[in-house]
Formats: sequence, C-alpha cells, structure tokens
Amino acid sequence: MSHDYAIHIQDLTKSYPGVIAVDSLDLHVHTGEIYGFLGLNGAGKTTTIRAILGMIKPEHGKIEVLGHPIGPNGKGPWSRVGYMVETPAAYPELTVRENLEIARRMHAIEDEERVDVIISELKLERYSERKAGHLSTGNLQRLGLARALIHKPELLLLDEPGNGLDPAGVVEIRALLKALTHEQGITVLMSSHILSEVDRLADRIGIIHNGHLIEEYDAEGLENLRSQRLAIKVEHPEQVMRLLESAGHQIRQVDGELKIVDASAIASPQMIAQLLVESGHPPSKLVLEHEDLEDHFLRLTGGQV
Amino acid sequence: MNGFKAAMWAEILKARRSKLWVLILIGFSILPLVSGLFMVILKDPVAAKEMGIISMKAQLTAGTADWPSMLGMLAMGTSVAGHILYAIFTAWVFGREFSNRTNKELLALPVARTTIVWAKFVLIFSWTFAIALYIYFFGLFVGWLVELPGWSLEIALKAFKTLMIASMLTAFLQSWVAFFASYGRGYLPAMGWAFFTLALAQILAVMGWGEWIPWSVPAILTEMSGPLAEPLGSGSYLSVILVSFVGVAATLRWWQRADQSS
Repeated sequence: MSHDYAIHIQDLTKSYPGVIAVDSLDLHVHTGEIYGFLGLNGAGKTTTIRAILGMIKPEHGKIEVLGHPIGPNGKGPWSRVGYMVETPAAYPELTVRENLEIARRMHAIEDEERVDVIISELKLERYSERKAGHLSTGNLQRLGLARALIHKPELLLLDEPGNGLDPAGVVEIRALLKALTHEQGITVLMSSHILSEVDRLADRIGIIHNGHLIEEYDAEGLENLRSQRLAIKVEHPEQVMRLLESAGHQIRQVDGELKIVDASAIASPQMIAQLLVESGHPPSKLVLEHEDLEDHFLRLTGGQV
Repeated sequence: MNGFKAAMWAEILKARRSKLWVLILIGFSILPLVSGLFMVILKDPVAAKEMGIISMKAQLTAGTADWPSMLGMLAMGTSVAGHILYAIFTAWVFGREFSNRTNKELLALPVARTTIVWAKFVLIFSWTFAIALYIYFFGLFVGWLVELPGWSLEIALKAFKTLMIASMLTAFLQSWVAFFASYGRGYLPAMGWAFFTLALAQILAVMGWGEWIPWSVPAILTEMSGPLAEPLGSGSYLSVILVSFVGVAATLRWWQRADQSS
C-alpha cells in the first residue's frame, strides 16, 4: 500500500444482521486533501469511518491509516489522528475545560496551555467552565471538534460535523477546516448527507450508496459539475448536435436535451438561438442552467435528503 | 506522563464529579448506624420499647449487645450491601460510557483500551477498599458511642480481617458486573446480573453448595448463613479469584475486540 495516502481502504466489507453496510469498498484519501464522503443516511459512511478507526471488525478488506495497518484491537497511529464520530459526546458532569483536560492528558500533550488555545480557537471561552451536560448541541459539536483537534492531528475524521450547528456555525466550522488544511496541511475525511456542506470545502468527493462507492469527483470534476451549461430542447436533437459541433461547440446529449458547455455559447446564448432558428430547428427550450449538485447527488442515489 | 496515569486521572475526575459516590457512601453509612441501633435495642429492649424505638409487641429473642455482635453485623452487612452497592458503582463506571455515548471517545486514543479498562478496575477496587475501611472505623465509632461491652483488640482485628477480606472478595466479583455493563452497553444488564447472583448465592448457600459458589463465599465468610463449623477452605477463595480473573479477562477482551457500532 502506498504511503502517499493518508487513508487507504481496499475491498472493505462489513455487514450486520440482515444488511450489508459496506460492500467491497475501495477508498483512497491523499495526504493533505479534504475528502468529502457523501451518502444518504444508512449509506455506509459511519460504518466506514468506524472501520477506519478500528472500532468495528470488517469481514474483508484492508485498511491503512497514515501508513499503519488498522486492526480491531485499538492499535493504530491514534496520536496523529483526530476524530468525531456521529453526535459528539462528552462527560456531562465535567466542564468543557475538564473534558478537554482529559483529552490533553490522554494524548500526552505536555503543554498545559493547549487546552486554553483550543478553547479559544473553537470560540468556547464563554462556556469553558460550563458543564458539558448544559451545552447546546452546537457547542457540544464545537467541544467534539476541540477534542479532535487538541493534539494537532495529521488526519481528521469527521462524521457529519455540521449536525446540530446553525448556519453561522456551519460557516465557522467550514472556515476553520479550510484554515486547518491550508495552514497546517491536515488531511480531512468528512462525511455528510448534505452536499452543500462539503462541496465548497472538499478537494474530492466520493458518493457512497448502499455500501458502494458509486462516484468520485476530483477538483476538475467538481468544477465541471458546478459549471454552467446551455440546455436546449429541439425536435431533432441528433441533427442539431451535428450542426452545433460543426460550428465548433462542445456539446453532449443528456436525457433528450442538448447541453452546450463551451464558454462562447454560455457567454452569448442569443447567438445559439439565432443559429438554431436560421437552420430551421427552433428550440422549444433554451436556458442557461447550473447543474445543481444536490440534484446530481439525488439522481445518483435515488433518495431523499 | 504515561497512559495509565492519564487514564487513572480521568477516571478519578469523573468519579469525583459524580454524585454517585456520595450517595453510595450515605447508603453504606446506614450499616454502622443500624448496627448501632440494634445494639442499643439489644442492650435494653424494655427501655427501647418505652422510648418507642421498637414496637411494644416486638420480640427480640436472639443476639447480644457486645462488640463481637456489632462487628459481625458490619461484616455481614458489607458482604450483602456490598454485593449491590459495589455493583451500582461498577455498573456506573463502565455503563456510563455507553449511556453517555462517550465509549467511542475511548476507542482510538494513544492510550490502549486495556489500559483504560485497568484504570477503571483499579478505581473500583480502591474505592471499595476505602468504603470497607470507612464502614469498619465508622462502626467502631458508633460502637464506642453506644458503649458496647466486650472490647478486645483481638476481636477488633479478627473482625477487621473478616470484613476486609469479605469486601475484597465482593469487589473482585464485580469484574462480571463490569463485563455485563460493557457487553450490555449500559447499567441495566449489569444490575440484572448483580441481583441474579445475589439471589443465586442465597439459594445455593441454603442448599449447602455455597462454599463452592463464588458469589456465596463472602456471605458465608461473614457467617451470614450461620456460624461456620470450620474455616472456609482455600478452594472457596480460589474459586472467587479464578471467576473474578475470568471476568476481568472477558471485560478486557470485549473492549479490545468487540464491534463498537453504537
């Protein structure tokens, strides 16, 4: 297995009675990237993350984290990995500071001020002496992130980090993760069932559905998906396709519609309209559209978010 | 700072911040107080009736108010109350990680899971040891207050030895409570196990098999089921240690290997 990968998963299979949670999954996360792991609820995201962390025993497959093979016995490079799995939990009778002090000691961090630093970074100063049991879900989420980051990990695994956060909180966490990856070079694997939560942040996105990784996009692929296109509906699409191609446009046919993706067509749709009318193929639809990633995701998974 | 020290620090902090230890301490305080009350009644049943401590119809036919009786009651009480109260503390130490969903925060740390489990066991054992000392010395204080006759250092030391051994054996057996709190992911299976073994111990002790049943041994040692014709054999002690050791091993193994999917 290559050490260029922060996470290297090969043929991972895990099932529970009556359901295959993850089925022959191959997943590679490059060092230094933010990988968005998307899927509907129950798609297999959390099972994959738990397997990466050695919390569950897969039936098949190999997992390597930061170059170390992961077994089910808890051994792994955990001093270099931070994680937050599902709803973050904390000891309710302990204060935020005490919960983080436990994490500091467990990670053998000598710098006693590290707790204050991470409290400040996660904007938890107001709540530092508050018992965790009295925190709102959003602040509990912040505490979970603080615990995941206290030891300055090289790899961060976040399972639905936006859960429970208000829109401002989501933006804040996004900014924090961006800063972490760009300034400190942390690799992040972040799962979500909400595409908009990861599409602005991720360098790559993988879509998992029914335990299978069904699509993966790199930065270029994501940009293509985000880009605008001119959608045209005509009576004879094949003829029009040939016509537009001969005029030098990049075009493809999707679900009976023609999509022109080149910049000149997008810049002046009226020119395309004129060309079609003059050639005797007046369009019944000509619209500048932006493929909605959310729609794309739903179309792939056939589900409801 | 090594992993065990960090884990131990965390366990002590969690226990200190919980109100459970105070409640259990209060629960155990009843034992010397009730024993003292019995001694007062036994010393002078007529006066106790006149004072309204007991009903005028009550018939106290057994027992004498002296130091051996008082200390014997403490030891018996420790073995029976300890079975449940130690189990409550053990179920809390392990089960709370599941009910608070903090278990997943313990699974991928630089500190080995087994180290964390050992820290929990050390906390439980230290705490039960401290509780036994508290019961004994609080009992001595209550006995002194009610001016019990028959004091001798020999009796006091013998009772101390019996109470401490009974307490330790009871504490060792909590390893299975820890296992069921882990396996059942919460308090209830652990407490179910504690009540089941308490009932089983009583029944089998009555049937005469008690000295071979680890959960009966502490009560038999404290003469809960009648005076001992002869001291308990080493086999009885060994059965407790072996069964407890298996409980510890099962708990460690579970934390190492079991799927933590919730």
